[in-house]
Parts: sequence; C-alpha cells; structure tokens
Amino acid sequence: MKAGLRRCWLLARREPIGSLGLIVLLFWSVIAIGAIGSGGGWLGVARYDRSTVFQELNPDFVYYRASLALDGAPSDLSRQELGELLGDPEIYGGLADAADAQNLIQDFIQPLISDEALIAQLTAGRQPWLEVVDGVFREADTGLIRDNNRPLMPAALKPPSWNHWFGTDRAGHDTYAAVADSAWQGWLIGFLAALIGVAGGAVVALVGMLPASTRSGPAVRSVIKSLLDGLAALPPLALLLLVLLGHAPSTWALVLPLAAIALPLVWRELVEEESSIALYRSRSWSVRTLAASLIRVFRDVMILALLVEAGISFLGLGQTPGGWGFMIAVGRAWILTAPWMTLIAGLAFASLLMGIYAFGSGLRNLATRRVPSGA
Amino acid sequence: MRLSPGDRRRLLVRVGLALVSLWVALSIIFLLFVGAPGEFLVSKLSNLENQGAGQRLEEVVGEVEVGATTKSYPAGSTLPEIAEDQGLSLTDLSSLNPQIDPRQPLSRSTVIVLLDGEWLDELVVWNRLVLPEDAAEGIELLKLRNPGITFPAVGGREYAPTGKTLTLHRGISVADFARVRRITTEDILEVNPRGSAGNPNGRLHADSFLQHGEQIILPLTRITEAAIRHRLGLDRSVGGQYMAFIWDAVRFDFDTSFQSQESALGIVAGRLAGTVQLNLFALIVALAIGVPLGLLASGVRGLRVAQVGRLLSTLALAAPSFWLALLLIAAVTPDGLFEGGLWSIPLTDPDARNITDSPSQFFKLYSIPALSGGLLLAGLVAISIRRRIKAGDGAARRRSTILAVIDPLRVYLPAMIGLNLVLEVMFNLQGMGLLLIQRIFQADQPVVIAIVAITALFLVWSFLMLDGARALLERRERTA
Repeated sequence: MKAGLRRCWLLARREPIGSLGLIVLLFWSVIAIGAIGSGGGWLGVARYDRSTVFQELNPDFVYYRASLALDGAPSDLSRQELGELLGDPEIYGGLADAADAQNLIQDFIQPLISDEALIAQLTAGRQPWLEVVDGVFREADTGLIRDNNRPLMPAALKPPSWNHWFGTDRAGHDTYAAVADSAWQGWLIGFLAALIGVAGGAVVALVGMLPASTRSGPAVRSVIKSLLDGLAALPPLALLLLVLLGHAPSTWALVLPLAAIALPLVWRELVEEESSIALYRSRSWSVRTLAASLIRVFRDVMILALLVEAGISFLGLGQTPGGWGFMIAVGRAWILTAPWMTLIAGLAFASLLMGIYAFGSGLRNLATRRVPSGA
Repeated sequence: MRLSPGDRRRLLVRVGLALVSLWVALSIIFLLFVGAPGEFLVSKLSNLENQGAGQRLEEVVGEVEVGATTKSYPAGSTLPEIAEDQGLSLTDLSSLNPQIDPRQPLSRSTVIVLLDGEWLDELVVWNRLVLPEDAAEGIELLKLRNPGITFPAVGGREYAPTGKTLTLHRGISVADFARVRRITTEDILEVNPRGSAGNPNGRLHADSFLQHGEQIILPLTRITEAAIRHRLGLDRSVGGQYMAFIWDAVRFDFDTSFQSQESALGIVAGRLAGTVQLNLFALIVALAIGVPLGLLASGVRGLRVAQVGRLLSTLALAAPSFWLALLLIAAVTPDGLFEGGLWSIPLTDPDARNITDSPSQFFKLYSIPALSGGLLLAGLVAISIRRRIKAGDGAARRRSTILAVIDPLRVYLPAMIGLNLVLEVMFNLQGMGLLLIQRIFQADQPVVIAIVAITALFLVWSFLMLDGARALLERRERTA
C-alpha cells in the first residue's frame, strides 16, 4: 500500500503537468458520472430543460393577461388562469424577453393574491422556487440542486452567488447545473467517438500493414491512404451537418461521423509515424511505441471530436438539451451585461480539453520512458 | 524544372490517387445526402412547398396607386430656388402650387407639391419591380405593362401622373407558376379542371394566364411528393441515381437551387470570396503565431521561455474558436472592456466584406475571426515544430521547420475549414459556411452538394500539393 502510494508520488513528480491534467479529468468525470441517470444522478444535478424556453411562444397572450391584471381588474384573472400563469414555465420563458418582465410578475401577481393558503395551493409541488414570506410572494432561491433545471424568470441573469455558484442564464436556468449536465454529454460523445474511431482506425491500419512484407505492400497502402483522404476531404463540421440533415440529433448520429473523422488521423499515426512498419522491420519498434502512438492519437481525436461537437451545439444543432457550445451561444447576447454564462461554459470546456491534452501527453511520456520502480 | 521519367510517373500516380480520393468523397456525399435520407428530404420539401397552398396569388400581380410627391425645404427658401434645385421649370411648379406666391420666401410648414404624380424610378425601386433593382430596366417594363398611360418627364426623369393605377406585374401563366412552386404543370391542371376566375368557361391550359387575386388549387401532398421524388431522381434505381450523381459532379453540373431558380454553382461561386478570405487570413495568423511559438517552446531561448511557449501552444489548442471570438468581441467593441471601445465590428457593412473595397473596414471585420479561427492550427504547428526539433532534427533547421509546418496542415486543414463555418455564421461573413447552414435548413440539396463537393475538391488539391512539397523537401534532405 505504502509502496504503491510512493510509486504514485514518484510518477506525479515525473509528470507534474500530466498529473494536473489527471486531476482536471477526474474532476469532470466525477461531475459527469454524478449527473448520469434520472433525477440528476447521485450528485442531484438537474437536467437542463431547454424545451420549455425555446418553444414558439405567444407573448401577446402573456401581455394580455398582464395588462388585464395591471388595470386593476383582478377578477378577470380566474383562479385557474392564475394557476396556469404561475405553473407554466413557458410563460416565464415568454416573459424572459421583456426587459421589465421580472417587475411585471412581481407587480401584478403580488397584489392579486394576499391569501397565503391560495398561493401555497397553487404553488405546491409545481413551483418549488416560489415562497411566501410575511405575506410577500418571492423567489425561494433553493440553491443548486433541483429535480429539474427549469427556466425560472425571477432568478434570470443573476451573477454568481452562494445559491447559484455560476450564476443563472437569461431564463433563470442554473448555470452550474447546465455545465455539469453538459460535462456528461461532452465526455460521452468525445470518449465514444475517440474509442470507436481509434479502434476502427487500428483495424484499417492492420489491413494496411498485413501485406507489409510483400512487394505490393506500398501500393495497397497508398490506395488505402487515398480512400482515407477522400473521407478527410469532407470538413468534419460539414460532414456532421450532412448527417444531421437526415437524422434526428442523437448520440449515435453525433458519435459515428466524429469517429469517421478519426480514421485518417489514426492511419497517419500508426502507419506513417513512429510506430510504423519501417520501424517494425528495423526492430526498433516496441509495444511501448505502439502504446504511445495510440494514446497520442486518442488524445487528438477526442479533442477534435469535442471541438466539432461544441461547434455543432453552438449552431443549435446538437443533442437536444444543452451542451457547452449551446450555452456559449445562448450567453452571446449578454456577453457584456452577464458574462458569466459565456465565460464559465467556455472555461469549463477549455479546462476539459487542456486536461485531456495534459493527461494524454503525460501518459504518453510514461509509455515511452521506463519508469523507476520503488525507491 | 525538368521532370525525370520516374518523377513523371510518380506525379501521375499521385494525381490518379487524388482522383480516387475525390471519388470517395463524392460517394460519401451521395450516401449521406442522396441515398439514405431520401425519404426525409421528400417529406421536408413537400412540407416546405405545401405551405401556403391554395392562397390568393397576390404576390403574382400587384397594383399601385400613385399620389403627389411632397417635400420639405427650410423656411426662407423661395419657389424659384426650389425649382432650380429640383430641375423643374418655375411655371410647372407654380401651376402645381397655385396657393404659393413665387416672389415671397416660404413660411414655415408650407407644403410644396413637386410633382403631380410619382417618379417612376422611385416606384420601381420601392416596389422591387425588377430584381436586382435595375431602375432603368424596371422603368421600361413599367411603361411596357401600362401602355394606356402617358408618362410625362421633368428634367429628364419620368413620372406617373396622379390618380392612375399602374400595373406592376402581368399575370403569370400556369406553366410559370408551376415552375415557381416547383410542381409539374400537369399536377396543377389535374386538380384545377374547371378553368379559372379569369376564364370560367374554358379549361385551364399550361399557357393560360392567372389574374390578380385569382385562386387556384395547389396539388395535394401526394402529388407534390411524387413530383419531388421525380425531381430528386428517387424514382430511379439506386445504381442509376449514383451514376447520374457522379456524372453530374464530374461535369460540375449541380442543377438549379430549389430555393431560387439560379444555378447552384453560381450561388456558391458568389460566396467563395468570403470563405477564401477568412481561411487564408486564418492560415496566415496560424503560421505567424505558430512558428515563433514552436521555436520558443523547443527551448531555443531557455527553459523558462520554453515552458511558457508549451503552455501557450496547449492553450491555443484547447479554447474553442467561437468562444475566443466572443471574448475578443467583448474586449474591442464600444461599451466593452475598454472605455469607448477599440473599434466596432462592421457586421452589416457590405464594403467590409472585400479587402479591395475598404481595407480598414475589412480588417475590422476579419481580424477577430481570423485570429480565433487560426489559433487551433497555430497551436498544432507550434507543437509539431517542437516535436521535430526535440527529436534531434536540428541539422537542417529551416527545412525541417517547413516540414514541421506541412505536417499539421496536412492533417488539420479540413478541421480548420470546418470549424471556421461557425465563425462565418457569427460574423455574418457571407461565405460558403453561412450559405451551407442556411440551405441545410431549407433542404436545398443542389446548393449543399455543390458547397461540399467544391470544398472536397479544394481539399484534395491541397493534399496533393502538400504531399508533393513534403516529398520534394524530404528528397532534398536525403540528398543533402
């Protein structure tokens, strides 16, 4: 046990940057694994509920109701309608575009209902974020962990605080929960794409290496190479766009084209670089060089896949809920007034990428060099 | 340079293999876009085209009522001054404005009637009679379509007299209408057997004219779908479709766009400049940052500097370009990071989109996307240079640096071009990327295919060039 720890320490001393990358990766893995499953997983991180905000809304309806209420005609707003107004996050989403939406809600809902029991009844189980304190109706800022990261108008565009570590976005989603949720997606898509891509690429490389000793070897390889060049000639983002034109954005519709992008990279790494056939023939090839190459190409493919996926989700074409690129796109209009949305999503993404790069490089360095054992 | 027979053979082999690459790229496009999601395309297109079925044809025929043009001049002007300014005779102006004494200066809020009608060229431009707005051609058309009206001229400009109703467009024929809606004429005739409002007794023919406000029935989805299938070629066998697709691509025949009746190739060619400028500029940035960074990181100037260089090149790799671009926008724009801002980004200025029109505006628009778009490649170039120099390849450093630059370009050029699509959308650069994303939403198959095929052609060509350069450099290194 003690020796094992000591060995780890030695490894960390040898590769400080790689260890830092490992720590970053572990951090994001904990968040990603914690967010798996229903109810936000064991971390209790809420699912990012985008559907209710970006649906086609009817602002006229909301303003009609609001103006009725503001004209001092509370009886026009029936109990049921009020319940709809309170209980329907879509309406909050619709109001989110109005500059004074928050005031509107507070101004017209508060005077209407002084009956605490009514509010309790209306809000029970539906509006966990609304509470009544001293007869005043206000946002119950219950903090990070919710069963559903729903749009919450009174909490929109709040800067980072103890309740919302990373602030909230324009519709009142909690940014931390959205980042954590996206971490899971990012991990899954990047990792799967790299895994499938590298495995598939290795098979292609093997086919290319088989006739190595025969005279037709180079010819076979240059034909395979030109086939792969044809694949590489379709820019990754354009390839993904073509796929998404015909298929609903699902995990596989994203992962498989991203894995296809990997094939030329793997070929290059395994056949043309240091683990190549030439080295194998000259007997300076070893399992270590092969491992180092695989690690390196895995790292590169994963970074590229994540970048392309972020680009797609920035364009709003990614998987339905969120994604870091999507968060950056949403925060675009508020970059000057509420920069935390964009900044934090981007920093989270960049830190994951740097973590992958640093850890991959560290692992590769260890693979190429012999590690001192024990003392 | 003279080629030896061996070189010539190698060159031929390379070109042949490049053609194989092109063929693979085209086949993948076919598989993704023509073959597999054919059904999806049909339903999407028929949905798009059935919107507004059975609507009144108001967009087909338009009418305009012309009134008198009025204009404000500063108080104190006199009628002769205004007549001179407008190029009108004083008698004409006086007869149009009998309540005004030509010798007195005008008092405040007097309304001067300049014309007993409206300028034809203004009518033409406002009503977008001819697209693109060629006023002279539009005036001719207007005169041609309203033969019963005489158009008086003042100062060389013709105007339409008050109280007349001008017809802007003539009715269109059923065949034209079918072409505009992209349905076959037969389909329209089949569901409209009884003639039309303009011609209730006779049958509708391909060349009968549809009148203003006339209602005809547009074919049902079923018929439209059949027409679309026929247009997409889905009623042929897969093999036949594939052969036709390849043969069209080889001849650069990408069909006309589904959205506007222009050739897809022409549309794409018009957007080429935006993408080429962005990527060229990004490439320059990548080399200008990547090469010095790589030399720094390989420890040419000491260990501390090398570590900073390594960190910077990793950073350049990890930050997504659109995020960096956003931060840079926030930094430079007015009400951004700095008081008063550094410059404002001319997102809508057409002059800024071309380097020859206005270089200063061009750099204001392109510098941020080029910088953020080129940074990924810069990081890769830096890492590659460091790797090569560390591997002890320092003998012929200059040549080896060039080789180290070619390597990441060869692998990551497609990724850079792909990711820069997003920047085109962000900065409204009017390039192929913006076009691609617009047309993908509209299921405009010919334009999308043309864009991807032309990009693939360019990339295969650049692979050929880079491989050739690499082979030449390596041979020189061996012989040196």
